[in-house]
Amino acid sequence: MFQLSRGRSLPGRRVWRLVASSPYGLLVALLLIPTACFLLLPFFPSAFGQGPGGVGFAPFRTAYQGYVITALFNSMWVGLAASALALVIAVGLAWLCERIQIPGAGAWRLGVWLLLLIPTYLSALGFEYLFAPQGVISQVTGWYPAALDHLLVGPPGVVIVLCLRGIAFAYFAVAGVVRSLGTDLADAARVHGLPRWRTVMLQVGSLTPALLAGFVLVFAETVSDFGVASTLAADAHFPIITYTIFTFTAAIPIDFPAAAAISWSLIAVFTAILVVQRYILANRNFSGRVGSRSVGWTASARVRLIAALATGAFFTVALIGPVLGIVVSSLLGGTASSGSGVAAASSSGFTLAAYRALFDTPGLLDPMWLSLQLGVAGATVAVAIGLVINLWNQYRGKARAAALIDIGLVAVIGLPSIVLAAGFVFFYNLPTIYNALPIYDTQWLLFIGYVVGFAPIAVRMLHGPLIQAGRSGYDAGRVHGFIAPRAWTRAVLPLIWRSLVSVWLFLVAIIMFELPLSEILHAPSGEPVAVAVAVKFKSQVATGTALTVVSIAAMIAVLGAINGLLWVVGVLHRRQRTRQEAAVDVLVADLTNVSTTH
Amino acid sequence: MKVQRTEADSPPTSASSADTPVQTTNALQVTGLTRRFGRAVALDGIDLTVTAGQFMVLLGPSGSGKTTLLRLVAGIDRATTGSITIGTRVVADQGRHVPPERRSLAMVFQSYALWPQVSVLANVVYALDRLRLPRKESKRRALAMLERVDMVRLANRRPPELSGGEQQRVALARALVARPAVLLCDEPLSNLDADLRDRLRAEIAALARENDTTVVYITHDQVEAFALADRIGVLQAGRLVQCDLPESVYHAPATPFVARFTGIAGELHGRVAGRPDSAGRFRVDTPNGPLMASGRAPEPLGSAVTVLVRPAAAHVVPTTDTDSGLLSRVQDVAYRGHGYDHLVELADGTRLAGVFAEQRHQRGEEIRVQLDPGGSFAYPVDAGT
Repeated sequence: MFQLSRGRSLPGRRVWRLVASSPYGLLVALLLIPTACFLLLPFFPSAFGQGPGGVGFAPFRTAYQGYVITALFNSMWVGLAASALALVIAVGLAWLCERIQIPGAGAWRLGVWLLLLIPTYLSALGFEYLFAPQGVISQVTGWYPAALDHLLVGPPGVVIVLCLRGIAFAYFAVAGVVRSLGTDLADAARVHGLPRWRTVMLQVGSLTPALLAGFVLVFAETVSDFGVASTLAADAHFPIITYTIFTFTAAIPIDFPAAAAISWSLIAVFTAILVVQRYILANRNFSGRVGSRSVGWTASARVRLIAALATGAFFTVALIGPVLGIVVSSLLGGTASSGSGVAAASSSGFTLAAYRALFDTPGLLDPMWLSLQLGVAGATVAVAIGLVINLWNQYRGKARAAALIDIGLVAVIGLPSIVLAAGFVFFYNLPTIYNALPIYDTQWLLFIGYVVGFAPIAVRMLHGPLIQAGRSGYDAGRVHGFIAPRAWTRAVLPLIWRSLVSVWLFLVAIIMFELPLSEILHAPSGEPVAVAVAVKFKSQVATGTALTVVSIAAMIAVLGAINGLLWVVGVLHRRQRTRQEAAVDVLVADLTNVSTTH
Repeated sequence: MKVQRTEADSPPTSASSADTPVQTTNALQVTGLTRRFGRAVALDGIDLTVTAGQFMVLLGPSGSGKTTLLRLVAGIDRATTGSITIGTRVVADQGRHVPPERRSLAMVFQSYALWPQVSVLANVVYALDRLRLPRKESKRRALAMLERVDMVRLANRRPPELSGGEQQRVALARALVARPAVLLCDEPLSNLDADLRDRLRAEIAALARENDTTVVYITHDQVEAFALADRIGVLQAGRLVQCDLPESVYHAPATPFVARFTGIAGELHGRVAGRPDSAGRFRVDTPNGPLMASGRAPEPLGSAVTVLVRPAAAHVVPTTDTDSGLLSRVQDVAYRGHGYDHLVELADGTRLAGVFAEQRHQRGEEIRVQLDPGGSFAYPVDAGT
């Protein structure tokens, strides 16, 4: 009845484990080693040929002086202010969209996504150019809003732009909890006679874990931001810590030990805030406060309308800076620079001259193509690594190992890109490494930087869909005769492929406009679009903004093409399903007839 | 604790179960199976034999290792030590692991594990893939099986469009359509409501026996276990503590744990006061009065014992009969259709639940409860749980 057969042999299993665990090895080799070397540098500079002396703290003493301390202090208070403001706005927005469900809730959620997708340097430059002395408002209306300009090109502007980006992160951190917040607590409070303010505080209290998570996320994002630091803050001569790290790696002579010493301050700040979050959550119990029953707050039509209008006004202001500033300035045709700040347009009236120049001049569109290629390739590899790591954890991993990997990935996501980039430049420029792997000064370094920087995000983003898909379908497939790859592709892939595509598209968009890694790691042979736009904003404004518009259009075209393809596949699939169902109906009818006859 | 090797290791005899067919071929043999997760031992040296066509029910509480055992047999998980043989083929032992798809098994999952993106028919057809039948024949067989479980009219539906009971029927059709050598059922009815559970339980038993399928079925529900099983294996903390005919498990539980898990009315404490008679019954003195119990009488006389009483062994006798029964007071009463179940408290505060009487006795009323020795099992107090 049975044939004797053996399963996969032990050596075969070892080889398979080696292959399957290679993404970990890749991440460790490419990420941990360069970053660890870079962070160890200030303690042992001579070990890396970066100065005399033995073990010590000399680079810390050199680095932490007046300007750097000011930058660190600025980063802290700007980060705290932007995070607090973003959190308040995000909770309000989430309450309106997820709980009260004001008119246009879907559109407002899309607005949150736009806030997330628009890089901070584009928002900063857009706002800057909107209010500049010879900016969009000035040229179109003849009135220069000096007060607004002075307010924006300074610390308040930095806080505002960072806050806008932070709103998106905070929103996604709290939206789920706000949506599923049960009414049990409020009901119990009311039934037991608590005053209204105590009832509200009880509900807010149940949001504490989400609020803290949101705050930590936004703070980490704002403090490690490089886009605003290198544009708006730099133009306002307002020192920020990330830009300070950059200046140490870009100056001649390069001072890697000082850059690494300053990077430690960012890591220390993140560690401290994570410890505080853990302490607060560990000493209070929030379990059971989020109920499964979600009941929308009954607001009158008038209140809902006013809330919708207020939300609309907010998004108009939040998005008008980057959109109006960039699009209109690209149509004003200005090509001259006004110096350190925002460039001025030299002509009046709308013109497509900048776009014509962009398409007619050889090489001007090269940054866009380069970024598009790097975005597609980087996102593909990052998603592949993310998928393999998740599958390993889900199907093969041990619980403790999976937890360690999880902590490691969170740490990597928390590591500022500027530190990662500086570590890469330092490590791959070491003579020993360069002789073995000569990727420094090539676009390969940037590509690897993108993959390493964004693979942890892919791992985190794919974790939820894969856990939700579960493995019982896969197990059922195996038990009922499918080999492992077939069981997975039949039982799990159909459930997660949309998530895979969404994560891939998200990463393409993010990588395409990424600034800090691009700024530091790009090869001299070609600039990615983010670097090109930042450079052109300082010399050829209209060309820079036109390049931005065309690049965004190209990205939207890619998104549209992929979505169009998916739509066509969906239509074909539905047609095939209809045909199959009709055929089955015939078979069932035959079967039923036979049964009836018998 | 040692595994209680009883009739599980040998084919059942006609004397032990009149309606169980005598089987000589082993469909599944598990030897010394152990599974550790780090320091935790989920299964500890399980020995189990299931003969062809037998309906084996593994009964145990949460965490007793039921699902782990099933997953090892299915090949979804790997044993730390021990071997598994399906038919004559060793599918797992030291260094050998035949993957699940090559074990000729089928399984009904607790969560159903239907593939939600394809139709009901496709779910069943997929399970025939390994037989490499012509497409038309696969569809015909799948439809026939769906008709058998009364699901053919919903063949075009997707699983998320079905109710829990309907999904379970599809899962059953998928499991049986390829006529597997062994069918594994992982608490397949635990997510269903009571009425549907009863109906599907009967269907599973009928379909399995109709197809002459060997079944390993796990559950934590003793009613389900006794209703379905040709043989019951009771698992406790990763060990198989008893494996026997349902009647034997009920009438001669090997350990206090088995007795408690398969249903008792209450526990009394006392001391051995007599030698066993020819039927193995002996007298136990309790604070509530003397009673007769069955089991292995511990030596010497006067040894402390715990007496576990089955609900069916407790009867109400007239209070005028002062020579028999234990004096008790009714604490609560519940109507059961054909009579009343009473919760009674004995003189020392011990409570017995489910004491049946055809007529209702009021709360606070004094009654006498007589315990049938055949359903009163005495164990030494150090016999563990």
